[in-house]
Amino acid sequence: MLASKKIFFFFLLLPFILKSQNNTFLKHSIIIDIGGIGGYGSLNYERIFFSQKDFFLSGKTGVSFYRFKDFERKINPDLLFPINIQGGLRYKSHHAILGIGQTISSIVKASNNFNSKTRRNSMSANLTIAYRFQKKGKPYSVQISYNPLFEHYTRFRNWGSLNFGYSFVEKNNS
Amino acid sequence: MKTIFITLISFSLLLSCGKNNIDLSFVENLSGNKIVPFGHAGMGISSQFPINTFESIQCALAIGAKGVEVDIQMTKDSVLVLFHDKTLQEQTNLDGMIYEKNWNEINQAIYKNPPFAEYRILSLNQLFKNIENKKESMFSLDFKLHESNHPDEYILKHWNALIKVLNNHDMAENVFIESRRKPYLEKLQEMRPDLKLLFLEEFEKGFEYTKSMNYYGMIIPNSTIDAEQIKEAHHAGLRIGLFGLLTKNENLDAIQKSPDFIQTDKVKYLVDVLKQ
Repeated sequence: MLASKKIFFFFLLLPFILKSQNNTFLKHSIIIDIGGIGGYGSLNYERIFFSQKDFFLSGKTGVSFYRFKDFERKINPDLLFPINIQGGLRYKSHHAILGIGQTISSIVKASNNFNSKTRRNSMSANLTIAYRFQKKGKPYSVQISYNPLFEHYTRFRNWGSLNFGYSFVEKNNS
Repeated sequence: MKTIFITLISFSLLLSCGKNNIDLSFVENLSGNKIVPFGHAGMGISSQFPINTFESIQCALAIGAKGVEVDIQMTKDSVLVLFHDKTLQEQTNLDGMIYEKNWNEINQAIYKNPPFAEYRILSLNQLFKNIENKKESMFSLDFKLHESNHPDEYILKHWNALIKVLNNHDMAENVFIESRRKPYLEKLQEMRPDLKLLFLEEFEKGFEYTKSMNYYGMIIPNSTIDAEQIKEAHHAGLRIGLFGLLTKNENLDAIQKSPDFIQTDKVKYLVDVLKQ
């Protein structure tokens, strides 16, 4: 449990610890995932913290939920926090991306013998293999990904996503 | 442009305010002229809770459904479990059929969707043991008999398992038994004539049979029956339940026919409409 907490904080803080080396990529993006490592969909922030020529490293974190009210209709949301770190190579407008990460899930359900309500907090591993299209210096991107999930470190699931991003253009970017 | 936008917003607000105002005074049936809302397999097939799970059923009842329809199958060691499909692999992490496996294996099954959630298969015994306010709710048990050959012994095992659960939880008054297989219903009627049996069939194919067997009623796809036929069934003393209601319009259409109960996939909507 301690190890998984360390991994979680490592991924969470990595983008803020490392500094960007230059500005050939747009650093900050908001991304909407349909499917993906946040389950059925998630809203994400991505920050590129290292880039050199046509290579970048980024951290991406987001939030997703299945429902606000639990099965007893009490406000008690199911929450998912997808986090990953990814590296990418760019050729013109095309990007090949590889990433690893964790999905933290907090789901309200019935207990194993169905006699009470319980919130299960857990972590799952994920992998991202993706193609992104984004013109150099332009804010909009679209990405298609294969996202195998290793749910609760016990079950493998083939999964995928389509995402749409908006990168914030900085004045000193070329 | 601004005017059009404001008009559109106002119009949609007006529509959303008035959408559930339906005059139900025309309803005439054998259930006190009230239509009883049932959740289809819990919250219905469009819910994020997998159908037939404890969470889905409890949610439907918490929303205000007076009952739920659930799908029942029997394990190899005669435990009745709530599950719809013929095979396990599409919905869960297990392979094979329910009737090929013992309860201790089925008890380990995890529903695949939604990701990360791990909802589990429920037995009928667990449902009645743990569901809140079970005596104020109705449970329509739709027996899915996927095995191709059904020897008498298999039928008997099914009904013995059912009667045991009903007796243990004193739930005989609170269940409907649905089946499209005549020999099954006939055997159960012979064993427990007090149970409320529903023949699952289209009206024209099943009405005379249901009437002749003096069953409680029929459960019928909404698209295959009209208001006149339901009236005819009521005259014959048969209750009618409708299913196959995925949209709001289909629910409204079903209400117009004055059935005794409706099994819906739009639970909240139907409950809100029938609350008036």
